[in-house]
Amino acid sequence: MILLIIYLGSIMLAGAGLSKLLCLHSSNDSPAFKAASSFALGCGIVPLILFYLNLIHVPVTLPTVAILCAVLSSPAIVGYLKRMKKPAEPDSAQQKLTRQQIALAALTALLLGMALLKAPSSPMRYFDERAKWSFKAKIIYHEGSPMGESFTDNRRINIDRRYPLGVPYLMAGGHMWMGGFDESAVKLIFPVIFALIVIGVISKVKGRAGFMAGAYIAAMPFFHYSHILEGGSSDTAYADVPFACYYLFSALYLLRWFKKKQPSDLRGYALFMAAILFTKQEGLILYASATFVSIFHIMRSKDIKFSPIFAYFLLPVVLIAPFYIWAFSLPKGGIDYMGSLSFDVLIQNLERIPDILYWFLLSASSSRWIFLLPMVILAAVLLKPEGKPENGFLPLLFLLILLPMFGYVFLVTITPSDYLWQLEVATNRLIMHVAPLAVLFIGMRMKS
Amino acid sequence: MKKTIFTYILMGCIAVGLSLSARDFIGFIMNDPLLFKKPDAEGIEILAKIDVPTNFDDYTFLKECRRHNISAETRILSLRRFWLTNYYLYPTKFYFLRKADSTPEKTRKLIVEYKIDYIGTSGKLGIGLLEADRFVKP
Repeated sequence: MILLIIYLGSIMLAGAGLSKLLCLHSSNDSPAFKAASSFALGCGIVPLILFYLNLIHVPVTLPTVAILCAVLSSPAIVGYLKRMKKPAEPDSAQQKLTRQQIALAALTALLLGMALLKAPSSPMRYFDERAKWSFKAKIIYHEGSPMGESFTDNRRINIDRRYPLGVPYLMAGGHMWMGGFDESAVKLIFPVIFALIVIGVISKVKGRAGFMAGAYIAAMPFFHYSHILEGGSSDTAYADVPFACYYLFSALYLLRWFKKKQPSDLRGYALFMAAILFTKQEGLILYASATFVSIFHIMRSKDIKFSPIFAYFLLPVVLIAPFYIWAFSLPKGGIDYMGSLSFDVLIQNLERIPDILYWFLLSASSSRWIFLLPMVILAAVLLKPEGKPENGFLPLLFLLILLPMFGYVFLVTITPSDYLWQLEVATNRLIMHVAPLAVLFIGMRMKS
Repeated sequence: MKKTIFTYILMGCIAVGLSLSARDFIGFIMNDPLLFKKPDAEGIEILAKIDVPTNFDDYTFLKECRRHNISAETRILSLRRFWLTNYYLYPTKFYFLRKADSTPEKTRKLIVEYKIDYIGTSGKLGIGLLEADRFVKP
């Protein structure tokens, strides 16, 4: 377990180094935001780099992971050592916490502690986490790459070979650091990423509203439930919690770029978007949504020229292209959405839409999400913004929540598998992807 | 005023979420944290429990099977290979179980459930069916 914690620390340092190298943090960022975004970036980008190494026939082993993390973290370590030589400046911006904020922080810590305790005290018990995520991690752990027969031989067990590999690489690194396979212990990664979501929301909203928003998302029962039909809660090794985390940070960078127009924010957005695309296929929907929102904003603004920033919006596709080129050479498996993507199928399946909307609206309004949808509507209706500059971006944030949900409705409409079964097992997990942004929206409205 | 009302509603939601999450957590630690039926659950009879050497050693494993009068050697061996090659699990124990109503007379083949312990987890995992042609009860 200690070795796993060291591994997570090295991932965080790698993310911090990358952030330093690409100047992703501004001087106004709080230390909590810097730490959480660095950690999340490390979790998202280190697996992608490991995949690139596999492509050039470098096997992923403990030395490979350790050297990569050491190289990536060097800018952060050098920066830290330089800062240490300078005399410390008194931090005038640091504010004292009120009693209410301390109580909310304690409550949040308690809820995160529950998730942290549950994860390593149970084995992987859902089919997907065992047969899909963890199995692929085992292949990478034992074979050093996914390029072997386990992926290329169609006679081997069907593991949805073309699915993105971000989470398996992340878990395989954990097993390598631990020096053996421990499926229960490695699940600790997921509640830690859940904590990053909470810290990201608190540090972005700030103040009392930030602590309330943090406690609200930390208390959401779906992140904690053990007795559910399909996994996805923070103590299971599903890709949905990391996916939601990367989407939150990519949206935070994108919103900051809308406001400040610094290219460094677009770099942060592009890297997190690449991590999203390397984590789940649904990343394509999130990427399309974010691109649509960006184009909408650029068209509205008169002072932004598209040509200098075009490359940043293309960067996630460039970064993920090697994976998809490789993946398309593998045998097919899993649900083939692309195969059923036709106008005829869409027309034929239109009758599904009332069922799908019912499921989504019901789930998002249920106690599993502590009435998230009604709360978002209440926040939008009750709390009127007072004309602060950042409030102009709240409609864009709202679009970043809404558009992926439309995408998911479309996805279930065309799915070739039993759509009712898919709704039953996946609706809550799909809501999870946008839940942090929805809470961010509530928090920003409260703050305004 | 509206903001205060909203804040109270949000605090109520946090309280609901906390109670539901805490209830689930208490249920989790009060029950079997591993969420699996124990091998000696009602209606299930343990036919044999075989310790498997940590390193993959067919010979020792088969010898253990024979010691327990389990003669469906090919099946059992392929089962172990299946878990090893397809799931990279290293079984350390096999529990051969039989449900009360599954008898050779009914099915001609004795349907035996198995569970395995494997390295790296304290729990039991891998509940499945083994169709053994010749399974002799010890």
